[in-house]
Amino acid sequence: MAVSYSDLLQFFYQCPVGLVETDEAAHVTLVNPAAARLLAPVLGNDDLSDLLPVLERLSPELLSALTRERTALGPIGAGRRFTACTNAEQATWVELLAVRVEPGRLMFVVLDADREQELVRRERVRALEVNDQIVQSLVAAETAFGLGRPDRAAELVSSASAAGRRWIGEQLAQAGGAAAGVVRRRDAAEPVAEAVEP
Amino acid sequence: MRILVVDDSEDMRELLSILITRGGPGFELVGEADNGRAALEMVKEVMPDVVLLDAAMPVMDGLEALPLICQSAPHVAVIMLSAFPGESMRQAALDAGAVGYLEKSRLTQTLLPAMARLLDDTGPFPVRSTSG
Repeated sequence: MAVSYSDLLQFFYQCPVGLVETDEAAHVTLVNPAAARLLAPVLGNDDLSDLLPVLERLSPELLSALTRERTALGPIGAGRRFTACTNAEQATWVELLAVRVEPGRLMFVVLDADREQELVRRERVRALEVNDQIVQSLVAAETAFGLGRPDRAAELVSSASAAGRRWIGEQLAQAGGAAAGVVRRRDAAEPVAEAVEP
Repeated sequence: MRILVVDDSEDMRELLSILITRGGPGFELVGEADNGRAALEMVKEVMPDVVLLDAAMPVMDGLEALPLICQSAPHVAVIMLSAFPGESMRQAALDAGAVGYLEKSRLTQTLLPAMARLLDDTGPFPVRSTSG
């Protein structure tokens, strides 16, 4: 089945993923509505005729990769997604990928990353809460031990340990490793005395 | 010395009450609260001399409650307690009106001596101005 240029152009404009085509100097030759929408918070009143100031502001890392790989064809930075914040106040995020389609012609993919970033943020908050819960129990255990109540201290250490185990269990379940029930350590667990900072 | 304990951890409140009891007849536990907002009410109700105030709590944390306690009851000495060491947190607590900042992990060694010095008014803590 032959696909005409107008079919491709129609797909380009209707694609829900942001697409921006530029020349090597980042002058925009084509941009679809999804890209314009996702990049709007960065543009302000400027138009999207030049992607360079947008990249300078959003992702100097991607810009460096483009400069480093100025002759390479295909995905830039081994296809890495460069995460960038478009509006700090409203916490809106995008992911940027770049592909050098042919010498002098680049295609940028702009993805809505709000959901991913929100999930990452929630995960960090949850990790902090669990860590806090563990620390609180351990601190109470230290206090109980200091008061000469080793049984109470042991209960509190067990409570801290249970909170940690629950957290690891949740993480394994999310990662699909619950069936194995095993944490694959990269290194042997350190002896406590050596693990504690002086 | 009348002491109000404010900590969201029931375990910690229980252990602090044991520690205070061991301090002898000079120390009296007059109330407990599990967040800063409840502490504000308790301060008005029981009129403590000292508030042991946990830094991290739900509803209203210690750093938020501290200036409000100092404002509503300037005679009360507030000692901030935290499980997390940190100079910035310690300084923030002292700037907000705490007379001291103690790490929870060493309370069995530090709390009673600190309060005894507070009682003697020789203080290990910076004395908060009462003139203004």
